[in-house]
Amino acid sequence: MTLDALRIAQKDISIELRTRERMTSTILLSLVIILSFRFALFGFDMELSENPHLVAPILWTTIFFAGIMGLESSFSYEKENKYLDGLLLLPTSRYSIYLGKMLANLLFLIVVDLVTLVFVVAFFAYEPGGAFVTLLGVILLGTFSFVAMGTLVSGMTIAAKTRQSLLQIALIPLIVFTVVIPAVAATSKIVSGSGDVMPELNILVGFGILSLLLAYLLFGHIMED
Amino acid sequence: MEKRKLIDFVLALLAVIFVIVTVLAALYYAPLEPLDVSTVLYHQDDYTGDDIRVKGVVQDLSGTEFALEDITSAVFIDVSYADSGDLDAGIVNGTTVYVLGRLEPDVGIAAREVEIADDPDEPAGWRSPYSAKIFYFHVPAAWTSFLAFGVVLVCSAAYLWKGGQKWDTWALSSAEVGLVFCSVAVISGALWAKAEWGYYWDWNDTKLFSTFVLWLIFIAYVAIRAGAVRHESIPRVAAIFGILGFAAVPISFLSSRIWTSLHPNVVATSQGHLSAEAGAVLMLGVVAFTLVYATLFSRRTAIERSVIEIEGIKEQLEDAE
Repeated sequence: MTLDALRIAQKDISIELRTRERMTSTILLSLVIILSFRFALFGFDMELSENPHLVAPILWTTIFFAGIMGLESSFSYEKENKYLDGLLLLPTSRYSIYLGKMLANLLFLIVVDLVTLVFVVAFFAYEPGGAFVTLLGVILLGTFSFVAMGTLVSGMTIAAKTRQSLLQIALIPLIVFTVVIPAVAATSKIVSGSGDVMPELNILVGFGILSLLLAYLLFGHIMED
Repeated sequence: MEKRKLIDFVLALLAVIFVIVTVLAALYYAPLEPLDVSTVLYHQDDYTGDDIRVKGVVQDLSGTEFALEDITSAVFIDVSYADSGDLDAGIVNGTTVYVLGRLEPDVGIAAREVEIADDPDEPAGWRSPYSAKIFYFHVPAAWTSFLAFGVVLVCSAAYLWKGGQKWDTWALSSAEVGLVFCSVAVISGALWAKAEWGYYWDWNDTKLFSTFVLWLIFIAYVAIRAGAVRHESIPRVAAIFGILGFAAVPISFLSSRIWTSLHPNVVATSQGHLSAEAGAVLMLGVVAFTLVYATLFSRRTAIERSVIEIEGIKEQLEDAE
């Protein structure tokens, strides 16, 4: 099962490495959002180091928007080229398909996260300093639970006509409490250097695992035909 | 077929009658103070709950004395007990409490140590008692939406388990009608909040927030169905989403009882009780709204059945060509 999942992930990654469609558009979106924040909030003079409380909202707004855009195209290659049946006919379990897609999405989004972090550091003159490792940990865990639920919902919305807007409207209510608020709260705590982030990390990990379980139970039903 | 129409007609007639009776009862029969406020909501002398709106003079420990009633829309989000550390002991005159919240516009967001003194001139009660009558529509609407989403849960589970188009039709119809009632509850609540609290919405309030999430989830449910092909995988996906989404119903119902919330708790709570007249009018409202739900649900399923029938005929015609 794991091996099949890795092969499916590898397929997505090699397609991406050849076309570079998703990565380019997602990173460009991230750049546009960061630049909008930069000039809308500060104009030309101020720096984020004077307003550290803004790091968390800026960082996560960008990651969530970019992430949703990345998820939208998660199944679009198969859908547009009518390879969906081919994917479903693979001699493997549906859960392996989910896991493979999830891993590929996770990898994409981690790259986008890192680039976004570089943008934040570069454009806002923000220096994470000693908190860098913890910050990275929170970003990775937040991305993991986001992608775990996001891939499941993205699978749900393949068949719908208005697929792209649907993914957002179906995903956001499910992750507001469980990913958005804990991730932003934990990041705020790290940036301001106060407080214990373990409760938030527990929620993120717990919801990520719950999403994997739900996917195990439901992805077969979702992808039945 | 005729029998179904007759049932629809009787349901609609009953619904109209009950709604009219509820409106009249809420206006003329229900007491102006629908809740026994001294025990339900706000602090008086021996209040023991979590929510508190202090009436009377409080003293900032820095020495300045100010009346909280002077402060417009004072909201106390968190109250912890400094003196006794015992939540059951209750607040008595002179108890020192920490009040964390918005004391706008003078104080800002801060933890303040204040002393509560009794002010005999300030009666307990609602800021806007007349608008509290919206309670007789707000609560039934919320309950009916919970009922409708419960029907979605049951029908979705039955659809996944047994299959059969009727379960899907019922789930879809119930979700759409439930969304209408949920909207009524959210909007009526916001209007009341404006009159009573001074603003429409409080994002810090778990009850309001979780109900908003519930509302979003079923908007998403209806959006998934909208314009979707009826016999592909969409009904199954929607059924799964409906089951997942129902999780928000108990969260929404219980949130103001678990976490500190400004939202009043009346039913199924130890915080207070309704007067007999108010309870009667509330029951009337629940019956009226349930009948409205039944009527709309019945009509909506009839529409859905016609849609499926017409699509079947279309397919037959296409096959014939």
